[in-house]
Amino acid sequence: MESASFSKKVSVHQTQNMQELQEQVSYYSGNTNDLVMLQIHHESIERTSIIVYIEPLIDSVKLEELLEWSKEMKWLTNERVTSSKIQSYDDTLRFEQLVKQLLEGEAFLISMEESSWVIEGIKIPKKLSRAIEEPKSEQIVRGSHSGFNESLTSNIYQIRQRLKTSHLVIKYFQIGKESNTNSALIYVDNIANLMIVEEFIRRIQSIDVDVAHSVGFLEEMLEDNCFSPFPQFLVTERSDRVTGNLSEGRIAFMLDGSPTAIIGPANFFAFYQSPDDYNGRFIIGTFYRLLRLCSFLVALLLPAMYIAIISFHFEVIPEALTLPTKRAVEGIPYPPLFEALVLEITIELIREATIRLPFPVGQTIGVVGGLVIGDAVVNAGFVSNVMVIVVALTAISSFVVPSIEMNSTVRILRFPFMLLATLFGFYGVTVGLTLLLIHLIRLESLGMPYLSPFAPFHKSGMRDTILRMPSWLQSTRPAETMTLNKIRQGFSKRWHYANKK
Amino acid sequence: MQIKNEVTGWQLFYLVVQTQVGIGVLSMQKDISIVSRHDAWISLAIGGILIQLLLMVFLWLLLRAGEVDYFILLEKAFGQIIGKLLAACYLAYFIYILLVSNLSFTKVISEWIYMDTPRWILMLLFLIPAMYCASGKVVHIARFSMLVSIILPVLVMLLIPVYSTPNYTHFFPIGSEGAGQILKGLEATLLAYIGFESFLYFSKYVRSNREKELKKAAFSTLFVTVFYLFLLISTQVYFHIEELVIVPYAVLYILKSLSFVIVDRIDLIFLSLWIVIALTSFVNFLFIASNESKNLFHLKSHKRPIIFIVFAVFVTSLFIKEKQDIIGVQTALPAVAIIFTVILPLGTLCFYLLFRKEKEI
Repeated sequence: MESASFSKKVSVHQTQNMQELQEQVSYYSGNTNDLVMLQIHHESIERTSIIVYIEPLIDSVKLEELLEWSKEMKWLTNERVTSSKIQSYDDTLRFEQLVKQLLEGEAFLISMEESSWVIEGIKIPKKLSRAIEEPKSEQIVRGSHSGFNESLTSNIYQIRQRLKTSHLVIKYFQIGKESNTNSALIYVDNIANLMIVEEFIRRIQSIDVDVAHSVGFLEEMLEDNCFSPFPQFLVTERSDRVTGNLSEGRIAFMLDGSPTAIIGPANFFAFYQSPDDYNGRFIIGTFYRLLRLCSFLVALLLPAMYIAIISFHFEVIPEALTLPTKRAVEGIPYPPLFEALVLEITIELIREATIRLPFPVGQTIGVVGGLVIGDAVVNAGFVSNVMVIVVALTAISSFVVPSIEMNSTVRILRFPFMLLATLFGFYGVTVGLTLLLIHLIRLESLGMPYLSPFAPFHKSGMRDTILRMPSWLQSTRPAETMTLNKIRQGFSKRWHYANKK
Repeated sequence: MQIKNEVTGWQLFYLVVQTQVGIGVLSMQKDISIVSRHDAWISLAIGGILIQLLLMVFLWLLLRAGEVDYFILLEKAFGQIIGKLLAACYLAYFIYILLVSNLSFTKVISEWIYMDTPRWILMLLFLIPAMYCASGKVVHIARFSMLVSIILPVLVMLLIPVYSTPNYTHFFPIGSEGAGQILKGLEATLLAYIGFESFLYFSKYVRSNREKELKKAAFSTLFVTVFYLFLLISTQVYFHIEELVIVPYAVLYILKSLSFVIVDRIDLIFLSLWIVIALTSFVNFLFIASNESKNLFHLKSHKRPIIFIVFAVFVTSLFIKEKQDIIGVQTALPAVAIIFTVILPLGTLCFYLLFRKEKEI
């Protein structure tokens, strides 16, 4: 431990000699063992210096190069040079600041010169990050295949590469009292509504956590209503998705160490847009967009409707289908809710199991779980075969959503609907739907209505929500971002009409 | 950030439409036909036009009265004490309307689908979403009304197959019942149109571009009239008048007899959808009533009165069980409605404007 004469000092100039300085630095960095303090000598000059750094954070090759360079140049000529990597500090530098810089990957060269300290910081952080590759959870067929990785600077690089405008603003915030994680708020200042930006900054500044684990962890503190089952920020790992949204007036937030960006204000329909829609032909894009939106209803309501029909409203089934359905349902000993729950939970189990297992084994589990259990359970007479069809269709529909968050929301929400259908039939389902609709209408993302082009109704919003109109027709930005800069583009098909003349 | 607590003209339009179109639509055809027989559609059309004219008068007066809450206007027109008293009467009237609406809703749903389910469960399932919806801001209710209006064209589309084998002879001879019967039918018509007065209460939320936006919304009754006429004519084309006077819910009977390839018995699905329409009507009245009591009792928010009002409606509804009692509760409605929706508002607005004029001089 420290010697008896140790007393805490605030800044560097309060220390008298090298020994004391080393003790102070060591004290402020918690006497950690990976803190390296090397004494350096040079024959030509009568001076002792130390170099202080935290070993794992430093690129050792670069450190060696810089040391060589500084020995040759500066120490001989005694000239102080600053560069983008080298910065000199005066001796009022506080130890707290010094340690903070050390943790950022800076090495300090400290020497005593004419009874005052000369301090130089050399920024040579070690940069290790995953290669830029396509995010596994958001794969697309055509278009860019680049996604974010765990390094914030690399992610910002990707965004800057795509939006080379002087209006792209990046604001850094340090989050976490212990982790001091860097985070970045990204927006385009001539498109985004600055009121929304301010509101978001206000929310970031009120975050008071020890460690900022991931974006998903912070999302709960930033969103408007964390008790809602619906995600209020669009979460993505794709840089093209982020830039697309930035250019529509939304803002993005990223955290160092997380490959994900959250984008707000998001609305319900944004979760059903995929970059694929824009890369293909617009008719096909519209078709798939509609298909996805229908899949939301199917995934939410199909099991509930089936249960309601079987247990309350059998007369809804048309005549030709009555007998096959009746035959399938008759021998089943359990109520339809129980049947559905057994199958739904089996599917959830299979899903959870395949995530944890390596790819080839996961496939086997899928086959065993899906085909074998599904077939056996019908043959054994526990579950009707119609129910297997219903649950399988529901499961497929729920995985169509391009966003994982919305996908889980839909999967969770169908259980209350199944319960309502069992208790009250169609009436129960309608009551559930009404409650859901009212909730969606009241929900806000960064203060903007969640169900935006529908409630409140914007005719122009239809062009890119349920439909995907040709890109040259989408000349205005969506209204729900409250952008002041509404005009997105001019008329790009002018040549067509010029030809006609 | 807060959304402005403001309603646009179209939103007000749909608010008024949804307040008018409720569960009464299903039984309206029978009620009018009993009185005006095969000239029911004339009664309905005249009623609609009269109410549309009344709304124009309201609009004219409102534009002169400025951006004021109707219930504050009551006080300004008649003085503090009488005004407060009248506002309390209004509150009672709203609770009465909510009660009737809740009762007739429960009646339809328990007669048509849920014969064995206890009535209190059906009521609770209706009242809980209503409370949740009404506790929001006026913009939320307006958006809900607007979104839910998608169901109205669905009904129109479902009824189109009726016109594959129409029987237009059911209308003839036109006007044979005589003016007396037709005018008598107006009373039953009024019941279907109740809710048009919500224009008075909701209009204070229209703030920007007031004149133009209010004008848009004033034509809501025209829309409702056309919609009702379509329903009535569709049922008259389908049913003979002797059938129509005994069929309680004509639209539901038509839908029941239609059969589609994918689903049978669309009436069940349709009635489940129509619950939402009944709900918006209830919610809008609940919102008005709770906001009025907020002002009346100087409360901070309109959420607590909602609980009290819904509780009162729920408990009273529990005691009115028999079919005869339910019909009995409704008998007073036309007379009361005329007082509260025609005479009082007209009187108040005129009184207020006259009174203010004198003051200004």
